[in-house]
Amino acid sequence: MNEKALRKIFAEHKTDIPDKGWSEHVVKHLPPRKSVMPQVVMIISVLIGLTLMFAIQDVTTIIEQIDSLTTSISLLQMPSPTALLTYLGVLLLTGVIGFGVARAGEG
Amino acid sequence: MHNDAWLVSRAALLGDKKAFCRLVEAYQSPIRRLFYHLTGDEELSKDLAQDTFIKVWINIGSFRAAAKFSTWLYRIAYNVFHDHGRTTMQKAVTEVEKLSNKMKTDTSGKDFGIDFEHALRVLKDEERVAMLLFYMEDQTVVTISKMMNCPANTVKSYLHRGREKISKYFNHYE
Repeated sequence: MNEKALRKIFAEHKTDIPDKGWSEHVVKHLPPRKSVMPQVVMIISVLIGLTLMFAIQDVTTIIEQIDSLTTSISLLQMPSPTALLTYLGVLLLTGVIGFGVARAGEG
Repeated sequence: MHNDAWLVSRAALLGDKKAFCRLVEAYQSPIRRLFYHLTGDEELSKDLAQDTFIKVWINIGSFRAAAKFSTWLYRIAYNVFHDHGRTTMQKAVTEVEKLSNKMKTDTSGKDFGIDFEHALRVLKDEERVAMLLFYMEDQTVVTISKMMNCPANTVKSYLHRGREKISKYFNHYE
């Protein structure tokens, strides 16, 4: 029997097996595997965020900046870029903390 | 359409079961087909395939992106089959011996028929794995050597012996 005939025989018996929900059945029976990565990423992100925040400005300045932003918006004035960036930084940090808490709750 | 690396990283880092389900859907057919041809038993092939994917899920954190996911998956599948084979090795050897004896004594070969599954049973486990991965799953010798964790020359030997035995089997019944 030559190589060509051998390949032909194997090719003839190569059939696709339909899933028919088998994959979902397997995934349903997977053992729990708690991933530590999300928590690690969250903790590192929060620490970096807090360090940067306090390294750049103190808390009073941050509150003042946010206060200035809300005042500007309420008076329909263009807010200062520093106030806007401070607000976005705080928003990002609280978002990360919230996401971390939600993930920890799921786990 | 996400690639394997994206799905693997989601499953590994976030424990994303939906991403893992996509991987299982993508590879269930070749893995179940391999186990079916290795064992000749549909139910057993399902169980071994399930064991494989559970091992993949548990150890997905140890997968290195430098390797191809399919190679790593087949390697786990081979280990699952190897572990299962340890308990049934003696049975397989006896089966091969019986079949060889039948081939020697059976003068009415045409009644037995040319049967692919029977032909595969003539091969030893490692030869069958190598032959199926090479001829059916179109894997290269180097990739098979990574999957079976042995040198490429050993895979070549398995293929050489496999070809000889299968050819002998089919020539006998032609």
